[in-house]
Amino acid sequence: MANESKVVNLMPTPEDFALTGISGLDSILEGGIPRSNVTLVEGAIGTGKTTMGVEFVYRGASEFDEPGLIVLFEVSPEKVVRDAAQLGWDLPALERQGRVKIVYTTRQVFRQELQQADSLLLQEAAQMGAARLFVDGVVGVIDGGGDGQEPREAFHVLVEGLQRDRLTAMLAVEATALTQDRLPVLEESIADTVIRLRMEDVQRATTRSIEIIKSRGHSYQMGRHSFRIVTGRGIEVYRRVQAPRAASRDRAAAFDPSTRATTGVPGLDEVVNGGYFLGSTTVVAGISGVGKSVMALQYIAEGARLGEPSLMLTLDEQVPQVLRNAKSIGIDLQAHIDRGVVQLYYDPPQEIEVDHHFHTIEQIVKDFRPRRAVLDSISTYGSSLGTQGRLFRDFFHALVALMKEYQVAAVYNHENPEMLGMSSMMGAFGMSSLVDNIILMNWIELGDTFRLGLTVAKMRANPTVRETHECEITDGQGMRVLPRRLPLAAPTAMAPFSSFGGLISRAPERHTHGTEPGEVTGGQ
Amino acid sequence: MSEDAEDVLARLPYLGHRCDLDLLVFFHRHPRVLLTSERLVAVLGYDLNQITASLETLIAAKVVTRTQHQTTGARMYAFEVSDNDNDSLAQLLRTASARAGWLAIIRALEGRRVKDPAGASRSRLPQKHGESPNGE
Repeated sequence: MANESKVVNLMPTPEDFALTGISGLDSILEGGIPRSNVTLVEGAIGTGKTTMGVEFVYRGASEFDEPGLIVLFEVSPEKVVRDAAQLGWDLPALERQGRVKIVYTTRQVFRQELQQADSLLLQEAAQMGAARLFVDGVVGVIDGGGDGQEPREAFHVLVEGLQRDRLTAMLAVEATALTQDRLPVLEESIADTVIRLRMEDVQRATTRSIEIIKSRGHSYQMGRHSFRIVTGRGIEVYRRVQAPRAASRDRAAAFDPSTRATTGVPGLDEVVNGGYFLGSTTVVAGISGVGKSVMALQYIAEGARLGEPSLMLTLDEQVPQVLRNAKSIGIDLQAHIDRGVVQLYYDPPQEIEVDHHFHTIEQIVKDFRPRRAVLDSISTYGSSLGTQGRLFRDFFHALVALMKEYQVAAVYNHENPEMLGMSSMMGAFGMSSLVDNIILMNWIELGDTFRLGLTVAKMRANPTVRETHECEITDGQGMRVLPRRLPLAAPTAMAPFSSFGGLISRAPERHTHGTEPGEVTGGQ
Repeated sequence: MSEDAEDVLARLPYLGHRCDLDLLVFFHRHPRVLLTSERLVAVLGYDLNQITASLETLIAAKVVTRTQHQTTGARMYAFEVSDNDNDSLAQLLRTASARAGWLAIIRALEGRRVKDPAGASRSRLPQKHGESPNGE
């Protein structure tokens, strides 16, 4: 008789993980830290190790019914409580409820405690049903503390002591204990999870980053992610913009070829086959002052008119300025905002933190669910993030993927530096392959007049007639695309674009024959 | 300030020595500590006998609880405030949180010792770490 073996499922379940509760961190950890893991939080002074450890215990006690113990060696509990209050965490209340205890001790006592079967510290943890432990500053504990114990042995004893009591522990390690920016490899190899916090110089600014160096028992998002310590809230981790998102985002990365978002610019819908597809990516390229932002405002106002949630992200102009610009072309954007159908988000472009910025956009899109969006302008990102490295490209990729996932008909304004004509559609950005539709806006010099030309250079999955159309912007009314063939006789400066060749190549020549009936070519 | 200090001390008769006060403030700032007496000596700067006497004072007054440890010399001390003492203690600790208030309480304690010399048998003059208790 064959032995019947019972199949045991060893795959971890969500219950096998302790959620940190720290905003954004569990997402990077892909579901939290495996229970009973000993986590080292490494970093230099001021990187946020204590804050992270205290928040780990605070969130456990306040959100997951997992009491916790905080062990301090140098920082007085009074100051920890005070600093926690700044972040909105009421530790004394949790202490009164017996869900958090803060123990002040010495490293020597702590080390001895973890080697005792009758450890007071672990008794305390057991009595309160502690599931989490944070030890602030384990240097001196893990390096043997000068009592002749080998660091590896000392750390091993510490880990064993913690695991004996099934505590999910977080240990903060100061940079003074680090060699070449990291802990000695042996300690890192004994720890189950290693989290590295850094302060990074970006030009003359400083940003914080977090990296999961290792974490046993599960997968996690590698690389350096950004984080902030926010007054009243605590730590907020922003996944690095390059990190892969959920597979659903890729699966949704196609546009809907049946539904279009009308542009709101009279005459433009006829040129773009009725509007932009939902989920499509449109770039409007042109020099400053050519009318890109006007088109953007009309696009947003059109969405509002149709009752579609419409989002405008602006880096170039602050909100009051955008509202004023809108008013000058007859759009009461504030009324649409008040009605909840339009959202306007401005982020100053100076020293932009791209992970945080993208996180904010992602949250807005998830919460507001816009059907259409304008980003004014991607060139500003270029000047903030640089066009040469991968950062801008990765950011733009992530942005396009986000908009496609949520089926947003997204329009991106791009400032092309060339005043007359264009020798390349996106200049140094080199992103045109990622874009579904490209609309070129050009000044065209005819006679002594600059006239405004619009050319659809690319329209994926659409028939495209690459004719240049004239536009005009009228005070109080905004932009409109003029009929291509004007029935009136006109001098060169007023003649229809259809009577010229070479408009975008900066050398327009007027046709002398072959004009359409009713169209007059002379008159100069 | 000194009148306030005397008033509040009158409601906390067990406090007789500045070490009592300093230890009380220490436990207020560190409500749960796991330390050896030697460590308290090092941190507060009084000799071991004085620290021991003040610990006994606070424990007897049920302001602090102590857990004995069988194996090592460390003990767990927890700051406990009874309901009766709550207001007076809170007022004392508030006053002592600023240097001027702390000095006023010290002066009041010393004044109390002059008025009640018998109390000095328990609460001796302040001695820094390294000095012999009772000056012997």
